[in-house]
Amino acid sequence: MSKDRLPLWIERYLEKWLDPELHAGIFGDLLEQYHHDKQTDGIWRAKIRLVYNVLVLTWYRGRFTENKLTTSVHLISSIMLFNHVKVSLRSLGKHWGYTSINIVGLTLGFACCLLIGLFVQEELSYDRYHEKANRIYRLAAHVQGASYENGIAKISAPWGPEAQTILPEVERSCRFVFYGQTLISNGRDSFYENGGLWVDSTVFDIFSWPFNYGDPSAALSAVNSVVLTQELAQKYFPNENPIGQILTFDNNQEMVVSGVIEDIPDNSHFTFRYLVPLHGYNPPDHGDIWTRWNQYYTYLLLKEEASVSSVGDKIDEMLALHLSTEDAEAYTPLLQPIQGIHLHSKLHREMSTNSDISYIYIFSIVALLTLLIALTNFINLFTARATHRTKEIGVRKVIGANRKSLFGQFIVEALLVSFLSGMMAIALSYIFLPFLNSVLNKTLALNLVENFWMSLGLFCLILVAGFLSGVYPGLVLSSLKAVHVLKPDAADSFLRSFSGKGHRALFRKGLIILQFAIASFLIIAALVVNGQLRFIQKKNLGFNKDQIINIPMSSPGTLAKARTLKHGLLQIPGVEQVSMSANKPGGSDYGVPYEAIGLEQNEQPPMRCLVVDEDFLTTYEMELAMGREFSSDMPTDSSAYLINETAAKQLGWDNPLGQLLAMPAVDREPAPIIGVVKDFHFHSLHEPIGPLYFFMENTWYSQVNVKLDASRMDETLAAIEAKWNEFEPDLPFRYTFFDEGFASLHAAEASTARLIKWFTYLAILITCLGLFGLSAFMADRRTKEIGIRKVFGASMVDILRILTSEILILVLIALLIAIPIAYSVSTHWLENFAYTIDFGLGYIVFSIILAGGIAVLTVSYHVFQSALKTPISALKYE
Amino acid sequence: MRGTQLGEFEELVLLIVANLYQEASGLRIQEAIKERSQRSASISMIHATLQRLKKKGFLTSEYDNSSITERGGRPRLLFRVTQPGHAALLKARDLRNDLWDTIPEFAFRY
Repeated sequence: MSKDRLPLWIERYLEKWLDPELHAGIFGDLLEQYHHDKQTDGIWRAKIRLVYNVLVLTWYRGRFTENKLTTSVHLISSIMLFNHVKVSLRSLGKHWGYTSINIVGLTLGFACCLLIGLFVQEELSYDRYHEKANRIYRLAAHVQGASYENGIAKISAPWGPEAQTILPEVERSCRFVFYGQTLISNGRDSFYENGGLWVDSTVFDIFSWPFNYGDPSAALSAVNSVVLTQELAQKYFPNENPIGQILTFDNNQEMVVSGVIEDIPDNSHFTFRYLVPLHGYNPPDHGDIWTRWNQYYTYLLLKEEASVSSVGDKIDEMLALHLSTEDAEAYTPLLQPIQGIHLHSKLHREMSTNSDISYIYIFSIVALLTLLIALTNFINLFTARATHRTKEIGVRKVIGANRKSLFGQFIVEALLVSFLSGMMAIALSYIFLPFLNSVLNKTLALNLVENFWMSLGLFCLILVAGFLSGVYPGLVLSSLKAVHVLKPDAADSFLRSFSGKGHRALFRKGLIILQFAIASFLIIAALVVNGQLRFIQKKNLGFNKDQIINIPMSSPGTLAKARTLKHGLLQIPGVEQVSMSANKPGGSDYGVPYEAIGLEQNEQPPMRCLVVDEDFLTTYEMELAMGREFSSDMPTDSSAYLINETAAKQLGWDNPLGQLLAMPAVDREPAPIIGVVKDFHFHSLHEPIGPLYFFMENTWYSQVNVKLDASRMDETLAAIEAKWNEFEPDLPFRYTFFDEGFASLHAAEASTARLIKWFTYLAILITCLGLFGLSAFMADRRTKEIGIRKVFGASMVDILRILTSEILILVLIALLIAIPIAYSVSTHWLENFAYTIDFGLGYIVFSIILAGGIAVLTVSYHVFQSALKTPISALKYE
Repeated sequence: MRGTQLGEFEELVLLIVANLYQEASGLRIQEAIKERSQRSASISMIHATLQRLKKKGFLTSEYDNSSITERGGRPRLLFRVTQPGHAALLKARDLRNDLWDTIPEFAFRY
């Protein structure tokens, strides 16, 4: 009870103005109700009610005061408020230079916060739009082997349905499997479409995607049914009801449209364009269904009261029943809440690239730092300007203003500037939102009317910013005594203690240090992020990603003619090499199970594979470490294998050449490894290079990889298209550049880097603005000093040195603070990558030069101006 | 002095004070309003109204000196309707009755 000081404060507050006649009675009522509420509604409701009551009393305070002539002046009394606003506008207008610096700085700061706030809000909203979002979990697995460990996002078929059958806590389960690229035709037009998923018919019991047409409960019950998103429905059946219409898949399979749902919102951790029922899916026969063919993204809807950890334990027990002892030990089920997947999940084989919570932190911090710099400017300039206002304050005091009303004056002035900046920041945000969207590749919208939390947040931010920046100047300036005006010397010495030397100047110097520390921190961070990204772009991937195009080849007809097509393409003069493959580096995964003959189960790491033909390695310029490549002259090579160096190491053979691999799941007999390929980056640089094996399988190919001659791309592409149309007149010619696809693996970092860069520029700009204003003020204050120094023979250089050295010392202190922080934060961020640059001395040196240079340049502009004047004009200026 | 008209809420409060007679403290008034009219008003709002009525001269207040532990020893402030308060209530009632009496029969036919 000793902590409950609220009634005490309230009593003291009421005592100040409440008629003493009434005080005991009214406060008694409040107290009685407070104790009563505390018993029935809890302490917080009681407190809120108490504060509310006090606010109401305050509002009607005129009724509770004694009927005397003297009324106490309140902080914001309605009569004074108008006067405050009037005087503020005058003073702001008179010093429009400082005012505009303040407003520009604050506007930029607020705009930063607003835009980043939108981004953060969007990131945090992922997958929360499902009605049952708090009960949806993804079932994934953690696999621990002898020489490897992995978290995998997709698991084998029976886990989900079995969990639903045996666990009462699981209400529904639902699995998704990638459908792969399909040629879809409505009888008139046909297009290749991506983004299809096989899915259990329970999907709409779990996820809330609204239906435009069709019935959610029956939509996926027929094997040949398909549910389209609005976008796809519009594409194939513009302006008609698509229900019951026929779509032909791959020219041989007729599907009936049974439902149309709204497009999947951007804030979903995976997206799709059409759904087909999973019971039509025929997985290859692959032995043990519990651990093989891990292709199923599995989602569970738990019951309201279910405990996640106990469900996890029970699934673990369930696995123990069905898996071999070894496997059961290796597999641990993971239950991931769907709302957290986008920001927290970093498993292998995610459905689409996830973001990372660290970006949220980075951006929020950057926004706050920028705002802090702007606020610091405001406080600094506001306090510094005090010199110009001694007379005003003195006269007000003489007339009878007390400290409170003077303080109110400054708060009102600060709030005015703050609100003005807030309004401009909103306008600025509207202008820059499209730019932000293009950098982040998002579709954020700024709608302050609908977005209640954002408006409230901005309003509070403006209010808090105004108060914060008004409080210190207000306190300082209102403490000025009336005598200071009457005796100018006294005022001068009082104020010099803020602008020049003395303990009060420490506060201002502290603020400058803070600004520069933040700016240098951002400079270093931007340098590191950019350096790392350039490193990734330039890093030798172990193969050549340039001038390669990928042509999809999904129709079985094309596949049959693939050999002829390949030879046809090779005859085009600008084509250097052609190969066929089922997948490519940076593309989708083939996790086909394999067996290494002679090794224990736990010595065989899960490997990725590349299904290629004999020219694949030369097309991508991959190099061999030992052995030989596939060759068309050796008929036995059609069953042989290549592995990469990491695979060789992890499999643990002394000499991998000649060792046997087999793939019983796809009926491949044991066959020898004929070569070891040098390690190359198969995936993004976030991941270390994993084990990989290669084999040839004619019927699996789905794309043609063409290496082009850089000098005549356009005509070669035209020739390839002509050749394609010759072979497949019915199918559209499509291709993608390999390097663009590969770059998209690092798209998140690329946009982060660009944003951080822009925000750093902004922070530096705001810092410069503030310093510019401040140095103008300092040069102004010291005009006399400069004049006297010149009279005594000081040169330009001397004066510059004296004045800039003060700032430089502050900058140095700032750097001393910023560098260690920047170092630890950057190295922490770099740990996200498997391959990184070192945090070099160069960054530190560069940031010192940059921060120092900026400071000196800004300050010397004004110093030059004062120093260039003849001494006499300087001395005469008062 | 402010006008001597009674607002709707003021009239309600004044009537309640009269009803409670010697029990008319702030919290009892709040309770009675809730009971009789199903309106919830905050205690501060009630005090604000009481003060207004007091300044119009319709109420007087005095302390009841039997203290109560829950209130940290603070006495209760009790209100009582004055003669002008009584007159204002009568005036308001007469005005209403008058108006009711002269409503034509057809006015409420729908």
